[in-house]
Amino acid sequence: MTARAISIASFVMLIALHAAFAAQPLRVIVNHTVKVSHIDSSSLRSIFGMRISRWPDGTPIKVFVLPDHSPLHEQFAKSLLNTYPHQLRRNWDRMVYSGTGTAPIQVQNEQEMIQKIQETPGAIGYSVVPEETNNVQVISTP
Amino acid sequence: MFKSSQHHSGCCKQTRVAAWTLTALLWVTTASADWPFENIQVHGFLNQGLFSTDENDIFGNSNDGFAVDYTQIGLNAAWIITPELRVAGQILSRRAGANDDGDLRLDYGLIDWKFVSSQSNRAGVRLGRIKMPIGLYNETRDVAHTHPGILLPQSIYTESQRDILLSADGVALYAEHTTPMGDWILDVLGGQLREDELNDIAGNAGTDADIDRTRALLARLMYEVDGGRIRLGGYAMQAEIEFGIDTGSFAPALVALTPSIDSTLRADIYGLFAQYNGPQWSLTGEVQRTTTKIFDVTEITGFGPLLPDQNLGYTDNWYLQLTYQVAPRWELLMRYDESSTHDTGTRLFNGSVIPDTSPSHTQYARDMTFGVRWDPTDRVMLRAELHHVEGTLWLPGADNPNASQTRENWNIFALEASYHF
Repeated sequence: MTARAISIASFVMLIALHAAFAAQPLRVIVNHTVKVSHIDSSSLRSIFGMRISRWPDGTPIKVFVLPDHSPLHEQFAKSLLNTYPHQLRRNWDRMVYSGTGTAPIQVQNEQEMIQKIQETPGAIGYSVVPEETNNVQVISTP
Repeated sequence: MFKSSQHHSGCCKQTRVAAWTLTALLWVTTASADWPFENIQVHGFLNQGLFSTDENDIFGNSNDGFAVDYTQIGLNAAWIITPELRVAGQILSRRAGANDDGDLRLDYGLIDWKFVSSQSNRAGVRLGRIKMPIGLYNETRDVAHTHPGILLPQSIYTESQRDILLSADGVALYAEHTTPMGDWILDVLGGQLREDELNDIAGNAGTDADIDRTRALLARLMYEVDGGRIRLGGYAMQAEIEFGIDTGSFAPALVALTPSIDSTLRADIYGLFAQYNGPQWSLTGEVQRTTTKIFDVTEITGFGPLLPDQNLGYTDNWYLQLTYQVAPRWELLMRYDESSTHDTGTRLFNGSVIPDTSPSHTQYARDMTFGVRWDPTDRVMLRAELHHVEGTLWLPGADNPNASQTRENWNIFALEASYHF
Protein backbone atom coordinates (compact mmCIF):
# COMPACT_ATOMS: atom_id res chain seq x y z
CA MET A 1 0.00 0.00 0.00
CA THR A 2 1.21 3.46 -0.72
CA ALA A 3 1.98 5.86 2.10
CA ARG A 4 -0.96 7.90 1.02
CA ALA A 5 -3.34 4.95 1.23
CA ILE A 6 -2.03 4.10 4.71
CA SER A 7 -2.58 7.60 5.96
CA ILE A 8 -6.10 7.71 4.51
CA ALA A 9 -6.88 4.35 6.10
CA SER A 10 -5.54 5.54 9.47
CA PHE A 11 -7.56 8.69 9.21
CA VAL A 12 -10.74 6.75 8.47
CA MET A 13 -10.03 4.38 11.37
CA LEU A 14 -9.48 7.29 13.71
CA ILE A 15 -12.78 8.80 12.71
CA ALA A 16 -14.51 5.46 13.19
CA LEU A 17 -12.93 5.03 16.63
CA HIS A 18 -13.82 8.56 17.62
CA ALA A 19 -17.39 8.01 16.44
CA ALA A 20 -17.50 4.77 18.42
CA PHE A 21 -16.39 6.54 21.61
CA ALA A 22 -18.59 9.52 20.98
CA ALA A 23 -21.48 7.20 20.47
CA GLN A 24 -20.85 5.70 23.91
CA PRO A 25 -23.48 7.45 25.94
CA LEU A 26 -22.69 8.88 29.35
CA ARG A 27 -25.01 7.20 31.82
CA VAL A 28 -25.91 7.57 35.43
CA ILE A 29 -24.98 4.41 37.33
CA VAL A 30 -25.98 3.19 40.76
CA ASN A 31 -25.12 0.30 43.04
CA HIS A 32 -27.20 -2.81 42.41
CA THR A 33 -28.95 -2.47 45.80
CA VAL A 34 -30.62 0.78 44.66
CA LYS A 35 -34.23 -0.06 43.76
CA VAL A 36 -34.66 2.78 41.27
CA SER A 37 -34.67 2.52 37.48
CA HIS A 38 -35.45 6.08 36.43
CA ILE A 39 -34.59 9.50 37.90
CA ASP A 40 -36.10 12.73 36.57
CA SER A 41 -33.83 15.70 35.89
CA SER A 42 -35.01 17.73 38.86
CA SER A 43 -34.26 14.88 41.28
CA LEU A 44 -30.91 14.22 39.60
CA ARG A 45 -29.98 17.87 40.18
CA SER A 46 -31.06 17.62 43.80
CA ILE A 47 -29.07 14.43 44.36
CA PHE A 48 -25.84 15.80 42.89
CA GLY A 49 -26.56 19.12 44.61
CA MET A 50 -26.34 17.11 47.84
CA ARG A 51 -29.87 18.01 48.84
CA ILE A 52 -31.55 14.60 48.88
CA SER A 53 -29.99 12.18 51.35
CA ARG A 54 -31.91 8.91 51.00
CA TRP A 55 -33.35 6.69 48.27
CA PRO A 56 -37.13 6.00 48.42
CA ASP A 57 -36.45 2.77 50.34
CA GLY A 58 -34.46 4.64 53.01
CA THR A 59 -30.92 3.69 51.98
CA PRO A 60 -28.51 6.61 52.35
CA ILE A 61 -27.39 8.05 49.01
CA LYS A 62 -23.60 8.15 48.48
CA VAL A 63 -22.67 10.53 45.66
CA PHE A 64 -19.44 10.07 43.68
CA VAL A 65 -17.99 12.52 41.16
CA LEU A 66 -14.89 12.88 38.99
CA PRO A 67 -12.54 15.89 39.39
CA ASP A 68 -13.90 19.26 38.24
CA HIS A 69 -11.70 19.50 35.13
CA SER A 70 -12.23 15.95 33.91
CA PRO A 71 -13.87 16.03 30.43
CA LEU A 72 -16.33 13.33 31.49
CA HIS A 73 -17.42 15.35 34.52
CA GLU A 74 -17.91 18.39 32.31
CA GLN A 75 -20.01 16.34 29.87
CA PHE A 76 -22.06 14.93 32.75
CA ALA A 77 -22.74 18.38 34.23
CA LYS A 78 -23.82 19.87 30.92
CA SER A 79 -25.78 17.03 29.33
CA LEU A 80 -27.40 15.45 32.38
CA LEU A 81 -27.64 18.25 34.97
CA ASN A 82 -27.93 21.26 32.64
CA THR A 83 -25.25 23.08 34.63
CA TYR A 84 -21.46 23.54 34.68
CA PRO A 85 -18.66 22.09 36.81
CA HIS A 86 -17.76 25.41 38.39
CA GLN A 87 -21.41 26.02 39.30
CA LEU A 88 -21.60 22.64 41.02
CA ARG A 89 -18.32 23.34 42.83
CA ARG A 90 -19.54 26.76 43.99
CA ASN A 91 -22.67 25.19 45.48
CA TRP A 92 -20.73 22.41 47.22
CA ASP A 93 -18.11 24.87 48.55
CA ARG A 94 -20.81 27.13 49.93
CA MET A 95 -22.15 24.23 52.00
CA VAL A 96 -18.79 22.74 52.99
CA TYR A 97 -17.25 25.99 54.24
CA SER A 98 -20.35 27.20 56.11
CA GLY A 99 -21.19 23.94 57.85
CA THR A 100 -24.54 23.66 56.12
CA GLY A 101 -23.82 20.56 54.04
CA THR A 102 -21.22 18.18 52.63
CA ALA A 103 -19.58 17.63 49.25
CA PRO A 104 -19.75 14.48 47.12
CA ILE A 105 -16.89 11.97 47.32
CA GLN A 106 -14.35 12.65 44.60
CA VAL A 107 -12.75 9.76 42.71
CA GLN A 108 -9.71 10.12 40.50
CA ASN A 109 -10.75 8.27 37.33
CA GLU A 110 -13.44 6.13 35.70
CA GLN A 111 -12.02 2.84 36.99
CA GLU A 112 -12.22 4.10 40.56
CA MET A 113 -15.72 5.43 39.90
CA ILE A 114 -17.00 2.05 38.72
CA GLN A 115 -15.23 0.29 41.59
CA LYS A 116 -16.82 2.59 44.18
CA ILE A 117 -20.28 2.20 42.65
CA GLN A 118 -19.86 -1.59 42.66
CA GLU A 119 -18.84 -1.87 46.31
CA THR A 120 -20.82 0.94 48.02
CA PRO A 121 -24.50 0.34 48.88
CA GLY A 122 -26.64 3.32 47.88
CA ALA A 123 -23.92 4.73 45.60
CA ILE A 124 -24.63 6.89 42.56
CA GLY A 125 -22.21 8.16 39.92
CA TYR A 126 -21.77 8.40 36.19
CA SER A 127 -19.72 6.67 33.52
CA VAL A 128 -19.45 5.49 29.95
CA VAL A 129 -20.52 1.83 30.33
CA PRO A 130 -20.75 -0.43 27.31
CA GLU A 131 -23.02 -2.91 29.10
CA GLU A 132 -24.21 -3.78 32.59
CA THR A 133 -21.22 -4.49 34.79
CA ASN A 134 -21.16 -6.55 37.99
CA ASN A 135 -23.22 -4.94 40.75
CA VAL A 136 -23.74 -1.78 38.69
CA GLN A 137 -27.11 -0.73 37.39
CA VAL A 138 -27.66 1.82 34.66
CA ILE A 139 -30.33 4.40 35.35
CA SER A 140 -32.50 5.88 32.66
CA THR A 141 -32.74 9.64 32.73
CA PRO A 142 -34.83 12.04 30.63
CA MET B 1 -18.24 42.10 82.23
CA PHE B 2 -16.05 42.15 79.15
CA LYS B 3 -13.16 44.50 78.64
CA SER B 4 -12.09 45.32 75.12
CA SER B 5 -9.37 42.90 74.11
CA GLN B 6 -5.85 44.07 73.46
CA HIS B 7 -3.69 42.67 70.67
CA HIS B 8 -1.27 40.22 72.27
CA SER B 9 1.41 39.26 69.78
CA GLY B 10 2.64 36.50 72.11
CA CYS B 11 -0.64 34.62 72.32
CA CYS B 12 -1.51 34.94 68.66
CA LYS B 13 1.90 33.66 67.59
CA GLN B 14 1.20 30.45 69.52
CA THR B 15 -2.20 30.03 67.99
CA ARG B 16 -0.80 30.62 64.52
CA VAL B 17 1.83 27.93 65.04
CA ALA B 18 -0.89 25.61 66.30
CA ALA B 19 -3.09 26.39 63.33
CA TRP B 20 -0.26 25.81 60.85
CA THR B 21 0.70 22.50 62.49
CA LEU B 22 -2.88 21.31 62.57
CA THR B 23 -3.41 22.24 58.97
CA ALA B 24 -0.20 20.56 57.84
CA LEU B 25 -1.13 17.39 59.75
CA LEU B 26 -4.57 17.21 58.26
CA TRP B 27 -3.35 18.04 54.77
CA VAL B 28 -0.94 15.13 54.98
CA THR B 29 -3.70 12.83 56.23
CA THR B 30 -6.34 13.77 53.71
CA ALA B 31 -3.91 13.85 50.81
CA SER B 32 -3.41 10.12 51.19
CA ALA B 33 -5.94 7.83 49.57
CA ASP B 34 -6.70 5.93 52.77
CA TRP B 35 -8.70 8.43 54.79
CA PRO B 36 -10.16 5.89 57.21
CA PHE B 37 -13.18 7.80 58.45
CA GLU B 38 -15.90 7.67 55.83
CA ASN B 39 -18.36 9.66 57.90
CA ILE B 40 -15.97 12.48 58.71
CA GLN B 41 -15.09 15.11 56.13
CA VAL B 42 -12.24 17.53 56.74
CA HIS B 43 -11.48 20.66 54.73
CA GLY B 44 -9.22 23.62 55.24
CA PHE B 45 -7.74 26.71 53.68
CA LEU B 46 -4.71 28.97 53.88
CA ASN B 47 -4.85 32.41 52.41
CA GLN B 48 -2.29 35.19 52.19
CA GLY B 49 -2.88 38.66 50.80
CA LEU B 50 -0.73 41.65 49.96
CA PHE B 51 -1.99 45.23 49.68
CA SER B 52 -0.51 48.44 48.38
CA THR B 53 -2.31 51.78 48.31
CA ASP B 54 -1.29 55.16 46.99
CA GLU B 55 -3.25 56.95 49.72
CA ASN B 56 -4.84 55.80 52.98
CA ASP B 57 -4.04 52.52 54.69
CA ILE B 58 -5.75 49.18 54.45
CA PHE B 59 -4.89 46.10 56.52
CA GLY B 60 -1.69 47.63 57.74
CA ASN B 61 0.68 50.21 56.42
CA SER B 62 -0.20 49.70 52.75
CA ASN B 63 0.55 53.31 51.87
CA ASP B 64 4.22 52.96 52.75
CA GLY B 65 5.02 49.86 50.74
CA PHE B 66 3.18 46.59 51.07
CA ALA B 67 0.86 45.47 53.81
CA VAL B 68 1.11 41.71 54.21
CA ASP B 69 -0.76 41.47 57.48
CA TYR B 70 -3.65 39.70 55.75
CA THR B 71 -3.83 35.96 56.45
CA GLN B 72 -6.65 33.50 56.96
CA ILE B 73 -6.11 29.96 58.17
CA GLY B 74 -9.14 27.76 58.61
CA LEU B 75 -9.92 24.14 59.32
CA ASN B 76 -13.33 22.53 59.37
CA ALA B 77 -14.74 19.10 59.98
CA ALA B 78 -18.16 17.53 59.57
CA TRP B 79 -19.26 14.33 61.26
CA ILE B 80 -22.12 12.74 59.36
CA ILE B 81 -23.83 10.73 62.10
CA THR B 82 -26.82 9.89 59.90
CA PRO B 83 -27.88 11.44 56.60
CA GLU B 84 -30.18 13.68 58.66
CA LEU B 85 -27.93 14.41 61.64
CA ARG B 86 -24.62 16.17 61.30
CA VAL B 87 -22.17 17.95 63.59
CA ALA B 88 -19.89 20.50 61.96
CA GLY B 89 -17.37 23.09 63.12
CA GLN B 90 -14.72 25.42 61.75
CA ILE B 91 -11.88 27.19 63.50
CA LEU B 92 -10.41 30.29 61.97
CA SER B 93 -7.37 32.41 62.56
CA ARG B 94 -7.41 35.72 60.78
CA ARG B 95 -5.07 38.66 60.56
CA ALA B 96 -6.22 41.85 58.81
CA GLY B 97 -4.02 44.76 59.80
CA ALA B 98 -5.42 46.45 62.87
CA ASN B 99 -8.81 44.85 62.29
CA ASP B 100 -8.04 41.31 63.40
CA ASP B 101 -5.23 39.91 65.48
CA GLY B 102 -4.86 36.29 64.43
CA ASP B 103 -6.49 34.75 67.48
CA LEU B 104 -7.90 31.29 66.87
CA ARG B 105 -11.69 31.48 67.01
CA LEU B 106 -14.63 29.19 66.51
CA ASP B 107 -16.09 30.40 63.23
CA TYR B 108 -19.04 28.05 63.35
CA GLY B 109 -19.94 25.02 65.47
CA LEU B 110 -23.31 23.44 65.07
CA ILE B 111 -25.52 20.42 65.14
CA ASP B 112 -27.81 20.10 62.13
CA TRP B 113 -30.92 17.93 62.21
CA LYS B 114 -32.98 17.57 59.05
CA PHE B 115 -36.40 16.48 60.25
CA VAL B 116 -38.15 16.60 56.88
CA SER B 117 -36.39 14.85 54.00
CA SER B 118 -38.23 13.92 50.83
CA GLN B 119 -37.73 14.31 47.12
CA SER B 120 -39.35 17.74 46.97
CA ASN B 121 -39.17 19.02 50.54
CA ARG B 122 -36.47 19.37 53.14
CA ALA B 123 -36.59 21.15 56.49
CA GLY B 124 -34.32 21.18 59.48
CA VAL B 125 -32.92 22.99 62.47
CA ARG B 126 -29.39 24.05 63.41
CA LEU B 127 -28.17 24.81 66.91
CA GLY B 128 -24.94 26.44 67.92
CA ARG B 129 -22.74 29.03 66.28
CA ILE B 130 -24.13 29.55 62.77
CA LYS B 131 -22.88 31.64 59.85
CA MET B 132 -25.32 34.42 59.06
CA PRO B 133 -27.04 34.00 55.69
CA ILE B 134 -26.79 37.59 54.46
CA GLY B 135 -26.73 38.21 50.71
CA LEU B 136 -24.80 35.87 48.42
CA TYR B 137 -21.37 35.73 49.99
CA ASN B 138 -21.47 36.34 53.74
CA GLU B 139 -21.48 32.71 54.83
CA THR B 140 -18.08 32.00 53.28
CA ARG B 141 -16.64 35.51 53.15
CA ASP B 142 -13.37 34.44 54.82
CA VAL B 143 -12.82 31.52 52.43
CA ALA B 144 -11.00 33.20 49.56
CA HIS B 145 -11.57 30.67 46.78
CA THR B 146 -15.35 30.64 47.25
CA HIS B 147 -16.02 34.23 46.17
CA PRO B 148 -14.91 36.53 43.37
CA GLY B 149 -12.42 39.21 44.31
CA ILE B 150 -9.73 39.47 46.97
CA LEU B 151 -12.01 42.06 48.55
CA LEU B 152 -15.72 41.38 48.52
CA PRO B 153 -17.87 44.39 47.58
CA GLN B 154 -17.03 46.59 50.54
CA SER B 155 -20.36 48.43 50.47
CA ILE B 156 -22.23 45.36 51.68
CA TYR B 157 -19.47 43.09 52.98
CA THR B 158 -17.73 45.88 54.87
CA GLU B 159 -14.52 44.82 56.60
CA SER B 160 -15.18 46.95 59.65
CA GLN B 161 -18.66 45.48 60.15
CA ARG B 162 -17.61 41.93 59.41
CA ASP B 163 -17.36 41.00 63.08
CA ILE B 164 -20.97 41.81 63.89
CA LEU B 165 -22.40 40.00 60.89
CA LEU B 166 -20.18 36.95 60.83
CA SER B 167 -21.99 34.29 62.78
CA ALA B 168 -24.46 34.17 65.64
CA ASP B 169 -24.95 31.86 68.60
CA GLY B 170 -28.48 30.58 68.49
CA VAL B 171 -30.86 28.56 66.41
CA ALA B 172 -31.62 28.47 62.72
CA LEU B 173 -34.42 26.88 60.74
CA TYR B 174 -34.12 26.02 57.08
CA ALA B 175 -36.56 24.75 54.48
CA GLU B 176 -36.26 23.80 50.81
CA HIS B 177 -38.99 23.16 48.31
CA THR B 178 -38.10 21.72 44.91
CA THR B 179 -40.39 22.26 41.94
CA PRO B 180 -39.79 21.40 38.27
CA MET B 181 -39.31 25.14 37.69
CA GLY B 182 -36.82 25.76 40.48
CA ASP B 183 -35.92 25.49 44.15
CA TRP B 184 -37.11 27.70 46.99
CA ILE B 185 -34.74 27.97 49.95
CA LEU B 186 -35.61 29.69 53.21
CA ASP B 187 -33.23 30.41 56.11
CA VAL B 188 -34.31 31.93 59.41
CA LEU B 189 -31.86 32.61 62.22
CA GLY B 190 -32.19 33.99 65.74
CA GLY B 191 -29.46 34.38 68.29
CA GLN B 192 -26.78 36.45 69.92
CA LEU B 193 -24.01 38.28 68.10
CA ARG B 194 -20.36 37.49 68.64
CA GLU B 195 -19.42 39.35 71.77
CA ASP B 196 -15.77 38.37 71.35
CA GLU B 197 -15.77 40.13 67.99
CA LEU B 198 -17.80 43.10 69.23
CA ASN B 199 -15.31 43.73 71.99
CA ASP B 200 -12.63 43.91 69.30
CA ILE B 201 -14.59 46.62 67.49
CA ALA B 202 -14.97 48.62 70.69
CA GLY B 203 -11.27 48.21 71.38
CA ASN B 204 -10.39 49.32 67.84
CA ALA B 205 -12.54 52.42 68.32
CA GLY B 206 -10.55 53.22 71.43
CA THR B 207 -13.45 52.97 73.84
CA ASP B 208 -13.97 50.87 76.92
CA ALA B 209 -17.34 49.29 76.25
CA ASP B 210 -19.15 46.52 78.09
CA ILE B 211 -21.53 44.51 75.91
CA ASP B 212 -24.57 43.72 78.06
CA ARG B 213 -26.85 42.03 75.56
CA THR B 214 -27.07 41.34 71.86
CA ARG B 215 -29.78 39.96 69.64
CA ALA B 216 -30.06 39.21 65.94
CA LEU B 217 -32.97 38.06 63.82
CA LEU B 218 -32.48 37.26 60.16
CA ALA B 219 -34.48 35.72 57.33
CA ARG B 220 -33.37 35.05 53.75
CA LEU B 221 -35.43 33.64 50.89
CA MET B 222 -33.79 32.41 47.67
CA TYR B 223 -35.13 31.07 44.40
CA GLU B 224 -32.76 29.02 42.24
CA VAL B 225 -33.26 27.74 38.71
CA ASP B 226 -31.28 24.80 37.28
CA GLY B 227 -29.21 24.39 40.42
CA GLY B 228 -28.07 28.01 40.36
CA ARG B 229 -28.07 29.22 36.75
CA ILE B 230 -30.36 31.96 37.99
CA ARG B 231 -30.45 32.94 41.65
CA LEU B 232 -32.78 35.54 43.11
CA GLY B 233 -33.44 36.45 46.67
CA GLY B 234 -33.88 38.88 49.50
CA TYR B 235 -33.23 39.12 53.21
CA ALA B 236 -34.18 41.17 56.23
CA MET B 237 -32.24 41.45 59.44
CA GLN B 238 -32.50 43.23 62.74
CA ALA B 239 -29.59 43.39 65.17
CA GLU B 240 -29.54 44.99 68.61
CA ILE B 241 -26.59 45.69 70.84
CA GLU B 242 -27.01 46.91 74.40
CA PHE B 243 -23.82 48.26 75.83
CA GLY B 244 -22.37 50.56 78.44
CA ILE B 245 -19.49 52.99 78.11
CA ASP B 246 -17.42 54.48 80.89
CA THR B 247 -18.18 58.21 80.52
CA GLY B 248 -14.65 59.21 81.44
CA SER B 249 -13.16 57.37 78.46
CA PHE B 250 -15.81 58.62 76.03
CA ALA B 251 -16.85 62.17 77.04
CA PRO B 252 -14.92 63.33 80.09
CA ALA B 253 -16.89 66.59 80.22
CA LEU B 254 -20.02 64.63 81.07
CA VAL B 255 -18.54 62.56 83.90
CA ALA B 256 -20.18 64.78 86.49
CA LEU B 257 -23.60 64.08 84.97
CA THR B 258 -23.26 60.28 84.86
CA PRO B 259 -20.35 57.89 85.43
CA SER B 260 -21.43 55.53 82.67
CA ILE B 261 -23.61 55.76 79.60
CA ASP B 262 -25.80 52.80 78.64
CA SER B 263 -27.57 52.59 75.30
CA THR B 264 -29.04 50.23 72.76
CA LEU B 265 -28.07 50.35 69.11
CA ARG B 266 -30.34 48.78 66.53
CA ALA B 267 -29.48 48.11 62.89
CA ASP B 268 -32.17 47.16 60.35
CA ILE B 269 -30.74 45.69 57.17
CA TYR B 270 -32.73 44.88 54.03
CA GLY B 271 -31.29 43.50 50.82
CA LEU B 272 -32.07 42.00 47.43
CA PHE B 273 -29.78 40.03 45.15
CA ALA B 274 -29.81 38.51 41.67
CA GLN B 275 -27.31 36.42 39.80
CA TYR B 276 -27.07 34.84 36.35
CA ASN B 277 -24.47 32.12 35.81
CA GLY B 278 -23.74 31.29 32.17
CA PRO B 279 -21.17 28.79 30.92
CA GLN B 280 -18.39 31.34 30.93
CA TRP B 281 -19.68 34.47 32.51
CA SER B 282 -21.63 35.45 35.62
CA LEU B 283 -23.52 38.65 36.30
CA THR B 284 -24.28 39.52 39.91
CA GLY B 285 -26.02 42.44 41.57
CA GLU B 286 -27.04 43.27 45.12
CA VAL B 287 -28.71 46.24 46.79
CA GLN B 288 -28.95 46.89 50.50
CA ARG B 289 -30.18 49.53 52.91
CA THR B 290 -29.02 49.70 56.53
CA THR B 291 -30.71 51.96 59.07
CA THR B 292 -29.32 52.54 62.54
CA LYS B 293 -31.14 53.81 65.60
CA ILE B 294 -30.16 54.47 69.18
CA PHE B 295 -32.50 54.26 72.12
CA ASP B 296 -32.83 53.64 75.87
CA VAL B 297 -29.86 55.85 76.63
CA THR B 298 -28.99 56.63 80.26
CA GLU B 299 -31.03 59.48 81.70
CA ILE B 300 -29.56 62.68 83.08
CA THR B 301 -31.47 63.60 86.23
CA GLY B 302 -33.84 66.42 85.43
CA PHE B 303 -33.27 66.28 81.68
CA GLY B 304 -34.19 62.86 80.33
CA PRO B 305 -32.02 60.53 78.26
CA LEU B 306 -28.56 61.88 77.38
CA LEU B 307 -29.45 61.05 73.79
CA PRO B 308 -33.18 60.90 73.01
CA ASP B 309 -34.37 57.87 70.99
CA GLN B 310 -33.51 58.69 67.38
CA ASN B 311 -32.40 57.48 63.96
CA LEU B 312 -28.70 57.85 63.41
CA GLY B 313 -28.92 57.68 59.64
CA TYR B 314 -29.01 55.17 56.84
CA THR B 315 -26.60 53.71 54.31
CA ASP B 316 -27.43 52.65 50.75
CA ASN B 317 -25.24 50.03 49.12
CA TRP B 318 -25.23 48.35 45.73
CA TYR B 319 -22.86 46.69 43.31
CA LEU B 320 -22.79 45.15 39.86
CA GLN B 321 -20.24 42.47 39.10
CA LEU B 322 -19.21 40.57 35.98
CA THR B 323 -16.89 37.57 35.91
CA TYR B 324 -15.72 35.94 32.71
CA GLN B 325 -13.98 32.60 32.39
CA VAL B 326 -11.59 33.41 29.58
CA ALA B 327 -9.90 29.97 29.72
CA PRO B 328 -10.59 26.80 31.79
CA ARG B 329 -8.50 28.04 34.75
CA TRP B 330 -8.54 31.80 34.20
CA GLU B 331 -11.23 34.22 35.27
CA LEU B 332 -11.54 37.98 34.80
CA LEU B 333 -13.43 40.23 37.21
CA MET B 334 -15.02 43.61 36.72
CA ARG B 335 -17.08 45.28 39.44
CA TYR B 336 -18.64 48.62 40.32
CA ASP B 337 -19.55 49.09 43.97
CA GLU B 338 -21.22 52.13 45.51
CA SER B 339 -21.98 53.02 49.11
CA SER B 340 -23.35 56.23 50.55
CA THR B 341 -24.42 57.14 54.04
CA HIS B 342 -26.81 59.81 55.24
CA ASP B 343 -26.17 60.95 58.77
CA THR B 344 -28.89 62.88 60.50
CA GLY B 345 -26.60 64.29 63.16
CA THR B 346 -26.96 63.40 66.83
CA ARG B 347 -29.57 65.11 69.02
CA LEU B 348 -28.61 65.71 72.63
CA PHE B 349 -30.72 65.84 75.77
CA ASN B 350 -30.60 69.64 75.76
CA GLY B 351 -32.10 69.90 72.26
CA SER B 352 -28.85 70.71 70.47
CA VAL B 353 -27.67 68.66 67.52
CA ILE B 354 -24.09 67.47 67.10
CA PRO B 355 -23.43 67.56 63.36
CA ASP B 356 -21.06 65.09 61.77
CA THR B 357 -17.80 66.94 61.23
CA SER B 358 -15.98 64.23 59.28
CA PRO B 359 -14.77 65.26 55.82
CA SER B 360 -17.49 64.84 53.16
CA HIS B 361 -15.49 62.16 51.34
CA THR B 362 -15.98 59.84 54.34
CA GLN B 363 -19.72 59.70 53.61
CA TYR B 364 -19.50 57.72 50.38
CA ALA B 365 -17.32 55.30 48.43
CA ARG B 366 -17.32 54.37 44.75
CA ASP B 367 -15.10 51.47 43.80
CA MET B 368 -14.25 50.33 40.25
CA THR B 369 -12.45 46.99 40.41
CA PHE B 370 -10.58 44.95 37.81
CA GLY B 371 -9.17 41.56 38.68
CA VAL B 372 -7.77 38.33 37.31
CA ARG B 373 -7.82 34.87 38.87
CA TRP B 374 -5.73 31.81 38.01
CA ASP B 375 -6.31 28.34 39.44
CA PRO B 376 -3.14 26.44 38.44
CA THR B 377 -4.43 23.33 40.26
CA ASP B 378 -7.75 22.37 41.82
CA ARG B 379 -6.37 23.39 45.22
CA VAL B 380 -4.32 26.50 44.49
CA MET B 381 -5.61 29.93 43.54
CA LEU B 382 -3.73 33.11 42.65
CA ARG B 383 -5.34 36.52 42.22
CA ALA B 384 -4.46 40.08 41.41
CA GLU B 385 -6.73 43.08 41.40
CA LEU B 386 -6.85 46.83 41.15
CA HIS B 387 -9.40 49.09 42.84
CA HIS B 388 -9.92 52.68 41.86
CA VAL B 389 -11.81 54.21 44.76
CA GLU B 390 -13.39 57.60 45.32
CA GLY B 391 -14.52 58.21 48.87
CA THR B 392 -13.54 56.52 52.10
CA LEU B 393 -16.83 55.38 53.64
CA TRP B 394 -15.68 51.80 54.18
CA LEU B 395 -12.02 52.54 54.81
CA PRO B 396 -11.24 50.57 57.99
CA GLY B 397 -11.13 53.01 60.89
CA ALA B 398 -8.78 50.75 62.80
CA ASP B 399 -6.12 51.21 60.11
CA ASN B 400 -6.90 54.93 59.75
CA PRO B 401 -7.64 56.35 63.21
CA ASN B 402 -7.56 59.96 62.03
CA ALA B 403 -10.36 60.55 59.52
CA SER B 404 -9.16 64.04 58.67
CA GLN B 405 -5.90 62.60 57.33
CA THR B 406 -7.61 60.34 54.80
CA ARG B 407 -7.63 61.20 51.11
CA GLU B 408 -10.69 61.14 48.87
CA ASN B 409 -9.23 59.43 45.78
CA TRP B 410 -7.14 56.36 46.27
CA ASN B 411 -6.16 53.13 44.55
CA ILE B 412 -5.57 49.64 45.91
CA PHE B 413 -3.35 47.04 44.31
CA ALA B 414 -3.77 43.60 45.85
CA LEU B 415 -2.33 40.12 45.36
CA GLU B 416 -3.52 36.92 46.92
CA ALA B 417 -2.46 33.27 47.07
CA SER B 418 -4.63 30.57 48.55
CA TYR B 419 -4.51 26.82 49.12
CA HIS B 420 -7.56 24.82 50.04
CA PHE B 421 -8.51 21.18 50.42
